Amino acid sequence: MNEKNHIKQISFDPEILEIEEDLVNFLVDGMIKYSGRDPILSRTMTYFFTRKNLTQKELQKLTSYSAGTISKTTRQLLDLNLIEKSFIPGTHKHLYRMEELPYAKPSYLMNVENLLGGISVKLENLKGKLKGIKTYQDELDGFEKVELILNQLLTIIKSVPQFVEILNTELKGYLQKYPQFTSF
Amino acid sequence: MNEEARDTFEEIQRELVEIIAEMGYQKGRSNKFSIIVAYVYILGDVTQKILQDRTKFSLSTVSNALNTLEENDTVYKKYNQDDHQYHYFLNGTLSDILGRNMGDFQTYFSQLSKKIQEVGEILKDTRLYDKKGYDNIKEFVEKMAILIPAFQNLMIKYQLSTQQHRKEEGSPK
Repeated sequence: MNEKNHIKQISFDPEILEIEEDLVNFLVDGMIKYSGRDPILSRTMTYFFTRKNLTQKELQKLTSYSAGTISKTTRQLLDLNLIEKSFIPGTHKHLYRMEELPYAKPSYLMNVENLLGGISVKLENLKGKLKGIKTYQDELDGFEKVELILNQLLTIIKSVPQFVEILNTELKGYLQKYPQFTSF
Repeated sequence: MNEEARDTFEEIQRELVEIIAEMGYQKGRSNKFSIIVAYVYILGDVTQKILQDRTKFSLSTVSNALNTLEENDTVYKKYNQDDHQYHYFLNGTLSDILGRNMGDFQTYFSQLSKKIQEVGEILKDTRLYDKKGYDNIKEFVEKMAILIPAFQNLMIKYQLSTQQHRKEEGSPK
């Protein structure tokens, strides 16, 4: 997409802006209330649902957040694999793009790649360390609680990949019928 | 008391806080909020003062995070007559909280479905058809109208299989 077309896409008519604002507010409230997501991250992410492609400057205009806040938030969205970054040809500006709605990815609900990528290993290591001082457990306030949390987290994390795999397969099968999701 | 064991235990607690905070970050929570949640998980019985000491965050950051956790039923508070402070406790186990989240998602998707239908009706107004941005909103609404029932079906299925699994294990529902 060239920059001219891209900017054209950003300037919505007032009637549509009103609908968008109402929708964004609703989605952001839900993310905060039901998922405990950060309000700033939620609002920034939600504009990608309707805009798909945005620069940091445009995000600033839409959200009224500072340049620093937008820079930090886009970094987190990149970390979460929710958006991608590329250069706008002929400029030094970055364009951020949301290829697919996060709702189409079960891993959006439980960031499985990152959970798999080390957390369970770290938890196993901690469990090993805890085992090493088990002899002193009566003298250590909160020992049993830490042990319980470690075991619970390990059980939950180990079950997540299987669960997400089931969700992925089922959702893929379901969405195949719809041309809107051909890339999924 | 074995000093070495106590140091190791404190190190384990710190590392566990970092892991839980990292999980919170991966869920799109702010880093500070995630760290506070992690301490509530690990310590169980906390006051705003304890959290401030452990995290070094401001009182308003700690207070805001606890208010959010209270609103979504993750923690509850009790006034302690002895130290004249509110004490915050985790509302159930980690599994309970995650289970509640799954129920919350269903409520969320049900409300979202109504909202998407409402916006879909507004978009039927022919005067909006040629407005800039119309296609963007329409595309989003159409996709959500497909995705929401898909997720709702999956969640019902997941809940049923969890109940079945519990039944097989003989544990209470």
